[in-house]
Amino acid sequence: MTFHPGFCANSIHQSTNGSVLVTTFCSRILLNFTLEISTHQRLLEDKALECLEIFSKYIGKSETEYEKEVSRNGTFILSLLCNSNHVIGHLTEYKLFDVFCEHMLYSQNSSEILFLSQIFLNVALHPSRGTFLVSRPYFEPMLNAFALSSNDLKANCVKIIKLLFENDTSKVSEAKKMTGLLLTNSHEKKRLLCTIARWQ
Amino acid sequence: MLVRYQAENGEELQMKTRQILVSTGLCNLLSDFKSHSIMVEAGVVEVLDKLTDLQDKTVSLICVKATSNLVSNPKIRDEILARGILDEWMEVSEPTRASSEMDFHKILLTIPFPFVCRSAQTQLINHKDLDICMVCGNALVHISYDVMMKAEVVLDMVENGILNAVRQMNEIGDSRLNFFCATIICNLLFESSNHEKLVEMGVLDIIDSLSSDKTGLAETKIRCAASLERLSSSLTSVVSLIASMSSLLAHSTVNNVTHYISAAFFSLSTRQSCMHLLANDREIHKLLIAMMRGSECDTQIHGAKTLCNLTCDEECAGILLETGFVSDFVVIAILRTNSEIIKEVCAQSLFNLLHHEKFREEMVEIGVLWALMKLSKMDSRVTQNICAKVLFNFSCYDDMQQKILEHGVPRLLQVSYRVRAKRGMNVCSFFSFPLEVATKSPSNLPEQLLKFSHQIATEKKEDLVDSNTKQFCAGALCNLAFRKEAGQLYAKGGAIGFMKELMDVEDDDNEIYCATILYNLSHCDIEARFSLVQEGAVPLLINLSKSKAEKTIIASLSSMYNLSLCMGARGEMVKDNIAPAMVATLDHTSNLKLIELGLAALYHLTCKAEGHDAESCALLVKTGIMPSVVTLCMKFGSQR
Repeated sequence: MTFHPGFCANSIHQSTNGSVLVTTFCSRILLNFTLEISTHQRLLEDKALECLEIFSKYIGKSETEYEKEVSRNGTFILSLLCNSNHVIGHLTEYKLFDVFCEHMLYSQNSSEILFLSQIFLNVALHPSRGTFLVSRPYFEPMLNAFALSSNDLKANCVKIIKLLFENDTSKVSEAKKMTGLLLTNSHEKKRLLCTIARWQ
Repeated sequence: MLVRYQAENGEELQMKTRQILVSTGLCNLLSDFKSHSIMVEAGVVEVLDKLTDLQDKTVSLICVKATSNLVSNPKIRDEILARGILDEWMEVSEPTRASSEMDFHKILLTIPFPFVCRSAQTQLINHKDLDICMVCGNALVHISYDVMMKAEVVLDMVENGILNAVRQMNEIGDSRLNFFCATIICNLLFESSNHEKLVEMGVLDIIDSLSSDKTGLAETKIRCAASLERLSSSLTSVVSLIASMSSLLAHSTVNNVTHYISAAFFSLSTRQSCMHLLANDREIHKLLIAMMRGSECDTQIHGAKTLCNLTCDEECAGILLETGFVSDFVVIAILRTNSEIIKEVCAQSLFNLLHHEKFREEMVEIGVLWALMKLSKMDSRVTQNICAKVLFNFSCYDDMQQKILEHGVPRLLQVSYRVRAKRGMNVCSFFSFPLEVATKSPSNLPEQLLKFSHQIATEKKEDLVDSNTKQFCAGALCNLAFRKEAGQLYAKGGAIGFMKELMDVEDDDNEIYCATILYNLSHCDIEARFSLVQEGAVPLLINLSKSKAEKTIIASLSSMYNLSLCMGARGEMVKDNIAPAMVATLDHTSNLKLIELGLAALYHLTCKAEGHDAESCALLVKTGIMPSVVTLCMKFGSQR
């Protein structure tokens, strides 16, 4: 076997990237701020969502503990912000929304999935956002995941669908289609569908 | 009157009697300076000349006195010289011809020139007649007074034997003549360029002889003392001089004698070459302490200044310690004098005593530092400056910090308050020493001799002293602030107020002092940090946040971080509006570590022991800091 050495580097070029600690502290600060719902409007005005966009870049790419924390904090911040009706509208306009939601969905982490259900529940509460929710590419797998999880999630799932039916009638057919999909899976889902049908 | 007397009685009087009466009348008339011009114009010089030519001893003696009166008036002397009479008299005064008493008055008229001295000497040696000697001595006093500022003329007189004439007069043993001797010597010593020569020719022996005369006049001894004082300014070999000074002090208790001798000691102490000699002489120390104890104010000042200079010498400090004089010194400084100047000089001496590392511990033990701090309570900028300097020096050493912390910090704060009150804080920074943020300042003060320096009289110099004091205070407070236990002491002692006022004057030094003190202080016990915040540390940090100086930014952010570690202080900090100051400080740097530090501090403010602090978070967002946080995150956060 012949080994062909490459050119030796004369110097090691260090990363010129910024500090992960800076991002971590910013995420902690924003998280604490977001925990106070009264601050949400001001945070929105002060462009806090731009920070969230930075945090979203850590999603799925976290290696160190700090990076994982940023990712976690970002998710939490998003879910908290979704508690404010006036913020949701803005949030859904950002790509980061899908990034976080997909991450939560596939994280295999039950608490994150619970967050996700809360987010979707909050979005569903927003009258004009039904179409937005249903049109998410991960909408179907998300409901599936909820349906297969704990009772809380199941309850959330039911609430989401109910809200969608209530708030955006033009999309009922799509909702039905979704419930049909759910039917094929299990006995448990049948009961869920019955529940939905009863509400209808 | 003379003419009338002659007209009425002339025929009845013998010629000699008339001559005596005329010469006496002229002598009396010439005793008044005001009549000299008229008398000379009327031909008195020619009349005296003629009377002397009569070769009668009694008449001649009176003429000598009359001429002596006349020659004592410099104006008349100049006029006589201008009229060319000098040449004639110079001929007469040649030693070979000046052998008779008859010519003596003419010799006197040849004014401050060697001939006079030569003739005076001749007369004194040949006759030893008290009357002649008195006239001669009086003339020499006048002459020596007139020429005392002309060093070359004095040298000529010395070389021509004036000291021999003085010795002759001294040998007669008359106290009045001795007074003339002392006066002549004092005049001859006026110019320092002749000192070596005069000493070489035995002037100290004459002074010793005059000093030791138990029946001598006080004035004679005062002039001897003044002569010694003059010698002290320049004489190279001072051992004999010191012996003469000590001898004179032993023979006289007259205040003025002590005063001159004290001035002489002080003068010697200012000369490096003499200092060591004085510094190691216990007898001299004793004399100086005695001067400080019981003399008049000026003498005490000289004694104090001399001791002050001597204390620059380490050996002297050791001796003073060993003999117990340091304690005396402390007592005198604190209790026995009310004079501000003496107290100031004492403070300088105490500073010098503390300067010697070898004896520092002991000096502190016996109360030198205590005395200095006590003295700084008086309203003297010099003393306060010295106190601040000592405390600064002590603050540079770990082992000494503990000794000054408890009493030193309040003193520093009070001194700096007084300086501010006096000068209204309008100070400039003329003096600075390097200060490292986050570390204690090294002691690089010049190890100066605190010599006589009472020229600090102008307003500018006062400003300089005050500025200097303020910086010593700031430097010391800076160093002491680093101790854990300093927090409460500073907070309760008004240190924050001091720093705020420092910041009121736009000055780079003030800013760095302030930032450094606060930085060091922020390392104190956690509980004390709360006190600092309560006492107003946040407004100070807000003030500092305007700075773009790197050291200030480092110190400010570190202080903010350290204070934010105190949970109890966080709420107060937020209410005091620290957050905008934090982000403003961060705006002035691109140093990642500092930005991390600042954000960590900000994060602390959002938390309490159990999770986030709702009230603080709401307040923080209201302050509008979020855009800055976003910018920092985008600019300095890790970009994935």
